[in-house]
Amino acid sequence: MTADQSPQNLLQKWWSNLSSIRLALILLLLLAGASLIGTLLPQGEKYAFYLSRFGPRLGKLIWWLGLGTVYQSPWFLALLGLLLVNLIVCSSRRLPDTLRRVKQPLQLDRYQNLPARLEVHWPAEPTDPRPRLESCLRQVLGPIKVHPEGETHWYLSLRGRRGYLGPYLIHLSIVLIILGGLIGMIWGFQGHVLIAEGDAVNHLDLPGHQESRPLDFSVQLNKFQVLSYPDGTPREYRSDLSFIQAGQEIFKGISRVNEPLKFGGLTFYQASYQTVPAGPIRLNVCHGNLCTPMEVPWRTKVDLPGGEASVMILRIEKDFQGLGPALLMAYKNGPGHPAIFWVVQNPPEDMEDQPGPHRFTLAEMRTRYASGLMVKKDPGVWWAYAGFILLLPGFWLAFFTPRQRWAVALQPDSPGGWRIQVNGSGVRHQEAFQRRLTRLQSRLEKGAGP
Amino acid sequence: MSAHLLGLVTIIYFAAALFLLIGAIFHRPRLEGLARGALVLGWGGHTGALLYRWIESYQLGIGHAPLSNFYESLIFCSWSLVCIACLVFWRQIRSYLGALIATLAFLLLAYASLGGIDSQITPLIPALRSNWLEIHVITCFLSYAAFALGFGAALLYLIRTRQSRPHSCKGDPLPPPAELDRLIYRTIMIGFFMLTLGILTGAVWAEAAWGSYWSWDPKETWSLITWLIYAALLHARLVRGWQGKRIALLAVVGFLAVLFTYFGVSFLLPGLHAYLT
Repeated sequence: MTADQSPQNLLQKWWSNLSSIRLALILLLLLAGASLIGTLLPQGEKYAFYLSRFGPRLGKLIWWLGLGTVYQSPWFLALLGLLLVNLIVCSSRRLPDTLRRVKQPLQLDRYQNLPARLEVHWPAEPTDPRPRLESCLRQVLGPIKVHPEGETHWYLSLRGRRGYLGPYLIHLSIVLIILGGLIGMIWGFQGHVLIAEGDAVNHLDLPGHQESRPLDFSVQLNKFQVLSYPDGTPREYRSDLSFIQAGQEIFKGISRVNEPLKFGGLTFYQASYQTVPAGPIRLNVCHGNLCTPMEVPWRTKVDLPGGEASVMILRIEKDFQGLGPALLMAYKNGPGHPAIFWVVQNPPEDMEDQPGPHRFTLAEMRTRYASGLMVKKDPGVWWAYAGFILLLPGFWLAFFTPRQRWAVALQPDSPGGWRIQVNGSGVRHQEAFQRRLTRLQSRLEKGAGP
Repeated sequence: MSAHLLGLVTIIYFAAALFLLIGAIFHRPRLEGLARGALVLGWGGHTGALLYRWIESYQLGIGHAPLSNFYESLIFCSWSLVCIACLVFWRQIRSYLGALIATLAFLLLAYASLGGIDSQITPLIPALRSNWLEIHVITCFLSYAAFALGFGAALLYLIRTRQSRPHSCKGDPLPPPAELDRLIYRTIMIGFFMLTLGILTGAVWAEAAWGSYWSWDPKETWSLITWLIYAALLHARLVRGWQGKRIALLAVVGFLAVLFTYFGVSFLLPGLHAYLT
């Protein structure tokens, strides 16, 4: 038995595995793979759908692995959770070291041996060259630290040291975004209301739930409008809403596509609309020469006089292709499939004939709009947004703050002049390093003149 | 009118690609210089055509940025590619890499001008009428463009390191592998930053338009897949120290994900982002 297998070491091994970059890489690619499955397989369908589409064996497998709801399945959430733990553990393990590195004063022994980049000679002159060199270096390299060592003067500079913090900011933002998603999943909800103009509702329909969710106020639709471009294509859908509590209107506002309305901790989104009747629908039904007026309810099957035929109004339109009010009717006479056709209030000359033997004309129909609103509460949104905002400085620091280390040595040269030796490195940003080096070179060479 | 200008730009890009290729094969630096000039000229015309289309839409009374349908997205994708290439990686846009980029820019424009893709300026549907449209589309396409450059560099890297002769003869038009490796990293860094911005602006927009900043729409999901692949690449390189072939292969895989996010999702997977078809 070696010491390696003692429980403590095992725990340590687990811990280091949990925080390893290797695990992070595997998780990133697994999450990518899982997301890919979710886009290829139809999501959120019923059990029977997968059985009929993929056969009993494969369908069952898909269902039991949760591949029909990948993004809500326990194993996907577990992967996300593992990534969260990995991010937190990995970052908190490395952070102290990084902070030390950021705060640490520059130490000569770590800088002396940076790769040599440049050598410039300044001729002998009566004045001290040091102030001149210092100001030159400060201009090109920023803050510097002077470090005399015998006859040699060292000037040390670490540029972009805050850049080391970039990855931590990014990881923190990702953690916030994932947490925001989980918070929204647990404490948020999404519902739907369909309100006809003039009506008010005080509860939400929740998808996949039998009972609806009561509201402590009611929402009234005062008006729904479709605004159009000159060519007739829709430009804007808007609902004018009032919020009513204890019989009093307490808030009024407009919900448009792209401009939801917030009230009472909920957000109301313009989602859909339809035309609904604003009164009785009256038809004239003719059979041969015998015509009878008839009131037909909406979306309900009714038998015609005589009993052998029946009709149902499927849909109504306020203005059907510029022909005024119209309704879509299913008409069944005898066995076989029902015929489906439009009945228009002002039919044009070339209107297609109805199948008969019954003929229908639209006598009276008043309509109004009903607006479909999506209603949502998501307490996690601000967590995610905080993450979004933090990501920007994080990226800036991590990728666009070049880290460079410089060490410049000033030494007396043999004929009474001075030798300036420039060492430095900028591993991940060589182009930026090279640019600064060129600038430094031209400044130093200019500085050589009297 | 802008269509005529775009036709001219298409020809210029084609000529630039051809000259860059010939210049690379036969070591003609002057031809290469000419081609590079043509590329910039073409890009100027391209910019003009985009601006002109924008003005045209205002003349029709429905003014909006030319970023609203598949045709306009192809035009803008090509523009972004040449933009990133000329503005950020001007020194690397020579020989085969330059030819590759010019060819891609040409192919995108040629594809856009084919029949079957509606090039009419149409009014914006209500869902697209938002201030987020421009910034979202611009950041996304700049990221695609940067990734395309990274893909080009990765391809050249793989070809370069497969060649039997280890030492380059004088005037070899392919840059040394170390330089290509660095180029892959730099392009992907920029692409990753832009993609992140694109996803974030899209999320904020979706929160206002669709009622959720993330709804696993196929386009969203595929952009996340792309993001995850490049995130893995950057970690592998920066933390694990991967270089060379493995990074180049990851860059190729990442770009395949980009292609699927742009084209595959639009044509194969139905979803909320169905503005392109």
